[in-house]
Amino acid sequence: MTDLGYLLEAILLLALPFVPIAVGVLLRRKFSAAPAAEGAEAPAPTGAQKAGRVIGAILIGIGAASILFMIVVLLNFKGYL
Amino acid sequence: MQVAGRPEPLTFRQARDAEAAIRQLPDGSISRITLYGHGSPGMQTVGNDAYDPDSAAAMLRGKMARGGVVQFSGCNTASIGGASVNPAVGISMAARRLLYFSLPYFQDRLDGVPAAQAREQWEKTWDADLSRDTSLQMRGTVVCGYRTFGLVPGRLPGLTRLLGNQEATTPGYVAGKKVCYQDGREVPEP
Repeated sequence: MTDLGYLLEAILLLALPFVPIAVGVLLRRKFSAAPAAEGAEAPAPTGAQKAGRVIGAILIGIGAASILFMIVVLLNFKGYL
Repeated sequence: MQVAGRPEPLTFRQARDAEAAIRQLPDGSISRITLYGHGSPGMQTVGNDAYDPDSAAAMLRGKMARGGVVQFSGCNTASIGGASVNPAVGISMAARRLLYFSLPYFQDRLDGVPAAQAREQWEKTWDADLSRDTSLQMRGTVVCGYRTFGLVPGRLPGLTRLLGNQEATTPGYVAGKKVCYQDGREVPEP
């Protein structure tokens, strides 16, 4: 591989933790509660909506933990932790 | 170190003290030894010293009991192994590739090292397997290491301050993916 190839590899590896975050955000938007009609109560979320939002939240948490892990590892590698 | 005939394990802070003690031990008397410190691909530190497969095997050869266990308790003291569905293992693999290949490769390239030379150097290094290579030099001994970065509760910065500890000096729980080899072949953890 050339330098460009290794650079692309490094960019993809760095982007890896953001994938579950992006999927989680998409899930939470897709399964968000339907807006209430004017003057009416918002409908209760369905089971599928709740499950989708929970899974989305879990994925966002996994992504955030992954980013934190990589930061900790880098700081430890450089001797700051 | 667990030694035949001694009920209590021997513990050393400095590698040189441990080496001196090991030299005095009868052959085949060590049933288990844990090397505890920072690890990186192909290397394990203990105190101010570091061991690679050759130096680890040289220190212990002949002293381990048949089927005795050498535990490298450091990060990345084994290769990354095969694919895993565990996201923590996946992130560890990515971090290892970035820290031990990408970063030094581009540092070398910026220093003017030819691409082929830098590639050969770091491709050989980033996935080095200290545990397997050591087991190949110590027939019959089980050698274990970690395929991933390890999280050590006793070394978390906030937690150590809260508990009033200094760095963790007694081998304890390490959160990581462990693997064991005997004569270069993967075996179940004893």
